[in-house]
Amino acid sequence: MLDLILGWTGVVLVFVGVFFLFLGALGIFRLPDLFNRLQAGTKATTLGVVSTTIGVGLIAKGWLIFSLALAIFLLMTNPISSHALGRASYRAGVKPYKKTNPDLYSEKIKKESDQK
Amino acid sequence: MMNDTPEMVKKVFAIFVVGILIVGFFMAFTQMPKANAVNVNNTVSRFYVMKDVDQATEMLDKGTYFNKDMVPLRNDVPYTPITFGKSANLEDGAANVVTSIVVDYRGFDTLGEVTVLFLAASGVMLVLHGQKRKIPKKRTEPSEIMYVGTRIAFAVILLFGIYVFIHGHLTPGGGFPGGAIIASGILGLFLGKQGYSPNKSGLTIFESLSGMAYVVIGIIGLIGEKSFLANFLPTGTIGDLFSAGFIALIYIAIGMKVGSELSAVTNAMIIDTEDD
Repeated sequence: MLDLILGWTGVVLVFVGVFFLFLGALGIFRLPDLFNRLQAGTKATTLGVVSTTIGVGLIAKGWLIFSLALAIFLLMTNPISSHALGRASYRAGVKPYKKTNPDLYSEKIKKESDQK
Repeated sequence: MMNDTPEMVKKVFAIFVVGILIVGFFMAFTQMPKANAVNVNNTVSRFYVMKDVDQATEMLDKGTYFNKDMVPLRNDVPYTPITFGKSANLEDGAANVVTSIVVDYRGFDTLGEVTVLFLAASGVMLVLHGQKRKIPKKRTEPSEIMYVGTRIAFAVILLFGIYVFIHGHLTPGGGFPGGAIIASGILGLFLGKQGYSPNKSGLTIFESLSGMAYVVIGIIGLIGEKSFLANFLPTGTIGDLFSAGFIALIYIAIGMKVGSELSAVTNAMIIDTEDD
């Protein structure tokens, strides 16, 4: 009985993950500028991939510990890499979409340059 | 240190080394096998490649052992299907067939591959050494998140790389991918802190020692089993961590060599661009 419940939970998790992966792909296609696309390409896919791997681990129990390790590694590295990409592109002069308001990071950069 | 030694000692040492190499080269001709004297079927077992994973492969195994009329093709070896976790003292004993070919049967070829990689790394060092490039003065430090995150990730990546090359005889992977994974972890450290540089002489010593370890393992095989890079350790039970003889030892040497080599290449590429 427990195996059945865990297996179906795994299937539901895989479907949720696939749905979010689809939303991430759609967001990269539809959103206007780099920063919005970065959000779709990393936040949505982080949830999608983590949910899919844990779901696979619940369906095939021999892989649960591996999938948990994978999920922890992804949760650790994915936000850091997206942060680095976004910060580097902002500092390199990529302008956000004109409706992005307020742009707090530009004020912070201005304050830093004033201190120097 | 080397400049202080007198010229005479250097010359004597060089003549000694060249003499040993020439004698070894000509001694190889005394060991040449005669044509058709070696029966290949006796040295490379055809049973090794087949694995008794399920019924289908068992049938396949029987297909290679018996002919159409179910008469055994070989009388010298009894029919025993190979099973994971049970079969012991096989000819090679690695669960990963590719590894057993690459490191055991064709170990000399892999030594050449490692040499090719070493030459490529030396070429990169030679071209990039002393190159100065102009870089923009307006630069920003990597953020605190990158600094902490890459350091934590480096530990995990290092562990995974070591896992890949220690389990080279059991799972896909081996020394070359494991070393590349370790080098990618060091690349992350470069991204995390401006002006980061690994211990350059340490990397060189590490690389040379692991390259020498490969050759020393080969020479131990030459002494013990009368063939360069012969498997001189017991092969154990197939599928265990401690099995397949010296394959794990050689993959540890290759992994450390490739990892330190690629890290040194990354170091040369990044450090030389930061010189003003």
